[in-house]
Amino acid sequence: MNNPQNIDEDEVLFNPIYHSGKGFYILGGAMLTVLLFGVGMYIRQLIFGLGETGMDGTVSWGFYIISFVFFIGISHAGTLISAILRLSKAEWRRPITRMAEVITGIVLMIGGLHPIIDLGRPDRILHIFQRGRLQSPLLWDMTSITAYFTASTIYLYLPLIPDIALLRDRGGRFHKLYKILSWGYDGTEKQKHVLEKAINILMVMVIPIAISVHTVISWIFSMTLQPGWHSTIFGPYFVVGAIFSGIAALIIVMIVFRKAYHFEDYLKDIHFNYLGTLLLVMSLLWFYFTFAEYLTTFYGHEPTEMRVFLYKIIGTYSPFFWIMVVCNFVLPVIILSNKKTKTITGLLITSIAVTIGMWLERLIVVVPSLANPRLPFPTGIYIPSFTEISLLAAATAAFILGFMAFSKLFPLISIWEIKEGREESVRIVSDRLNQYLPSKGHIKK
Amino acid sequence: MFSKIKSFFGKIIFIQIILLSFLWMLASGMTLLLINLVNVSYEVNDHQSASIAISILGIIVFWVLAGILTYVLVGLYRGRKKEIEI
Repeated sequence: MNNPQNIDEDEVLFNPIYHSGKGFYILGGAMLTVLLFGVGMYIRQLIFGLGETGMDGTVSWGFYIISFVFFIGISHAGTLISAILRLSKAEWRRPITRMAEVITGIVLMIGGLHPIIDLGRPDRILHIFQRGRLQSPLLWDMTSITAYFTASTIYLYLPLIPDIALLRDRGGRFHKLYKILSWGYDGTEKQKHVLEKAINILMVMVIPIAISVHTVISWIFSMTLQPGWHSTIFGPYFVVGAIFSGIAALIIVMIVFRKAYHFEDYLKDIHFNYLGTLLLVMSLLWFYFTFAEYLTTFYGHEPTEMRVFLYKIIGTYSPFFWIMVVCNFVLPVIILSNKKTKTITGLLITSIAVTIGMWLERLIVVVPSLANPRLPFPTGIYIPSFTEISLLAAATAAFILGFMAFSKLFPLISIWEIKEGREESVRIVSDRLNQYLPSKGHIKK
Repeated sequence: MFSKIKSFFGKIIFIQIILLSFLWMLASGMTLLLINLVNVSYEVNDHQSASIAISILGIIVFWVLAGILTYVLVGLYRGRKKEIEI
């Protein structure tokens, strides 16, 4: 256990690893129950087949593919935001990058499982390895998600090494595990140089990989001639939506762990203020893309496209569409553009709304186009079954459990980066400022 | 000799090498998979241009990632205090 002689100035960051409150076990137990129930429902689906879901011949994609796109979208929170903040040398990044990177790792695992759940017969996944057709965007997706998951895991692991070494030196329950994972890190100049060099290469590499993942996911839809899907802006539209939902998920996680583990001294109002501004910018960008997408469809007035358009705007899916607009645009703009409401509570409300809104956006992309195909079929009906709802709940529970498990093993805030920030940030920023600003008394005569 | 082998397998470095080899296995596996899928696309007369571009990119990404991790782990091992003292 924790060695009392090793009391650190950042002791509060080690606390979640060594101490668990009653709430931790209650929440963990509840989430484990939901997860196990979901597993049970999946086994039932395996036995009785996809007839257990609300999908049919017309609407052949439902909750599973919606959740797949949604969870992979959230994964952009982490590595992409962390890489951009590191690359732009934003000093306020230090307490938030770790949580962002963990989100990526967990949701990629959860999201990546959904197409297999959707298959009905998971053994058929072997067909991809034997006779898969590489011309299909589905196969590109498999490649890019695997690459993103590998890159994100390495990108999470490398900056974690100095913290693992700190945990190793403290001893305790998982001493052996920390010894294996720290690779003999002692903080020597050579080791620091190697680690820094690798992180720098990775942060540049991870950005195009992350963007490619969601672009390729959008191509699953836009490469078909289905009305409502065949659009050239789907790539950037999906990427913007992914970053948007990712930031919202990151804010929720930060607020929850700040409250639960008393990280108030690390996750300050300024961090939420900056992230709130970022969320507002993404909300405006998302609205711009949505408006451009729907306006061109409306002006084209192509009959099959209009069927889907009207189905979304004033038809069966209109309640979901307008809730999406309120959650993703109206609420964020009202709350985040006003100083009085741009508080942590305001941000939490906005972020939850955006998360719901972005899930609805994926629903609106997937189902209406399938329900109104180009061919002269009657309009399809999709009502999710209890199995699908249970598996969505199980996926959410798996996310929460994943985060809780991580918090028991590793620090949720990068301790070495905080220490480095304290020692060097002021000097680094002042040196940088001196480079930006014109020197005093430099007047041309 | 036997005791040397026994002590090596008992060492943490052995586990670390196994962990690292998983990444190389993944990179090799993805390479084999993509090569197989390009072959399949030739067999069934699919349009290959996109397939080949995606495969080449995919293969490079996985090998670079495996290379970076190996570089870090070997670098950390060599940069240890003990190693420097020697």
